[in-house]
Amino acid sequence: MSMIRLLCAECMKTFLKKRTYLGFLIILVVVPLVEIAMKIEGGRFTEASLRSFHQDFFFIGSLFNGWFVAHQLMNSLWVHIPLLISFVAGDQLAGEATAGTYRLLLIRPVSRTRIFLAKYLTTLAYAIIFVSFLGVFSIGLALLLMGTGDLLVFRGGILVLPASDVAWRFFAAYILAGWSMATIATIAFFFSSFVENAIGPIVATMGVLIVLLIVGVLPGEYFEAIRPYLFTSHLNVWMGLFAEPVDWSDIVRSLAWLGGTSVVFAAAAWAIFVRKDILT
Amino acid sequence: MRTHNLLICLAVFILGGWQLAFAQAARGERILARCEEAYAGIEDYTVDLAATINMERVQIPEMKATLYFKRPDRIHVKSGNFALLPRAGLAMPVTALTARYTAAFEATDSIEGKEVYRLILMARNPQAPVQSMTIWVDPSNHTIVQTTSSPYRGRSVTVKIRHALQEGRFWLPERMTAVFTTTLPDTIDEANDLFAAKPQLQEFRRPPRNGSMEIRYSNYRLNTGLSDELFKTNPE
Repeated sequence: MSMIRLLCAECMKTFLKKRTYLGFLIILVVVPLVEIAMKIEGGRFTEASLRSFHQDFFFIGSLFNGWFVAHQLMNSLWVHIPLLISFVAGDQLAGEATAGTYRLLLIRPVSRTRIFLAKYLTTLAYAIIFVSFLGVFSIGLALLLMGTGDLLVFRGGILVLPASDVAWRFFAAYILAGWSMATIATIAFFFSSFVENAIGPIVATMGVLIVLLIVGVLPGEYFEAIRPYLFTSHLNVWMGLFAEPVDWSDIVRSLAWLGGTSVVFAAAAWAIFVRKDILT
Repeated sequence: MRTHNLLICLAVFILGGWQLAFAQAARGERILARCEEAYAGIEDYTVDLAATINMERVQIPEMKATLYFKRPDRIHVKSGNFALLPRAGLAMPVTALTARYTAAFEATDSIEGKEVYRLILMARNPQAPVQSMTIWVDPSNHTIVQTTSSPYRGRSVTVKIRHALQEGRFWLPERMTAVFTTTLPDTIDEANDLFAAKPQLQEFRRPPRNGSMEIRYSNYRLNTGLSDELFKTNPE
């Protein structure tokens, strides 16, 4: 069986499951809900944020537009997206055990490594498709509802990016977000390799994420010293694109950390999978 | 006898002081009236603005806008993109100043080697947002070259204006710099802030920033008969 056919088979298996679309369904509900609510609220949010300026300046035009809403949504959702991704990634290997199809899968004349690779690539494909869907849907709907304009970014102050300079940043930001979520998917996949129930990997992934995120914001010299080494400190790498000038070296460093984390967890998952004693 | 002399001296002193104050006020009003006369031939004007802001924790690219002015003090600003422009000194309608403030001459100063008059303006309306301001007038062309005011507690704004002759008759702003200073400390520590994940929440709590804004004026169109309709919508 060629690798491509194996990959297609795994993709079909994944994308024929109803739970695969649970994340998409949630996005289809939450994104319009948030964006319509923001549209109804109008620019009150940006007005309030810029209140300290109103005494000295008057404003021409508005910074409340589709780009702003899409950016706010991206800011808010990246904490919740890992959960939706781990629904599917955590089920990749553990799901076979739960369904009792592990043995059936492995008696085919295909090496375990190739099966592992097909499943892992399917997981990554899901993560990337999911993030792309979120990007296209949230940006598309926001621009449709609220139009374009200059982008207001709150990061260490106030930054306004000209409308002509925004689209590429969103495009690149979603690529980087895809890279971040691929790391989350890999961790969920890793946990999936040594349990026989899909709930375990989801809880474990979210547990790791929450613990490390908390450690990452704790004050104190010790925590500050370890912060750069936590992969969670690099998950928001895409935020670096909404700065002026963009610190590319910082972005490359974060991508390397995330890539390294993915490699380590994928290698560990592979080592577990090829040695696994299949009893179901 | 001695008491009598003392009373006379006191009366002369009070009368002299009062006369001096009156003279200073009259001189101030005269100077401001001359400024107003200098703009008497302008009914309206349109000018293109290019504004740059240099303020702490603020990054905004150059903003472009068009300013419409109509006597006595109506202003309308249009911009294709977002722009923020200073409330102080954007257009200096002297007619609005004379209507809103009383002027008193205070001293003669030197700005960039030029002798200028320093006037103190006091609001006629006790409810006016800016109760007093200091202005410096260039007597050579009767233009206001500098102002300082404190629009609210903890904020000081100094506006410097450079003028250029338009249509060979009117001295209108060519470049304006507004410098904003605050005495309130920024107590927000972003490193250890529970709201760090929501940076926009920090902006709610920020005190006014220090910094400056520079506006360049170009392409004046004078007395084109701007319609009143244009001024029905305000910039804000």
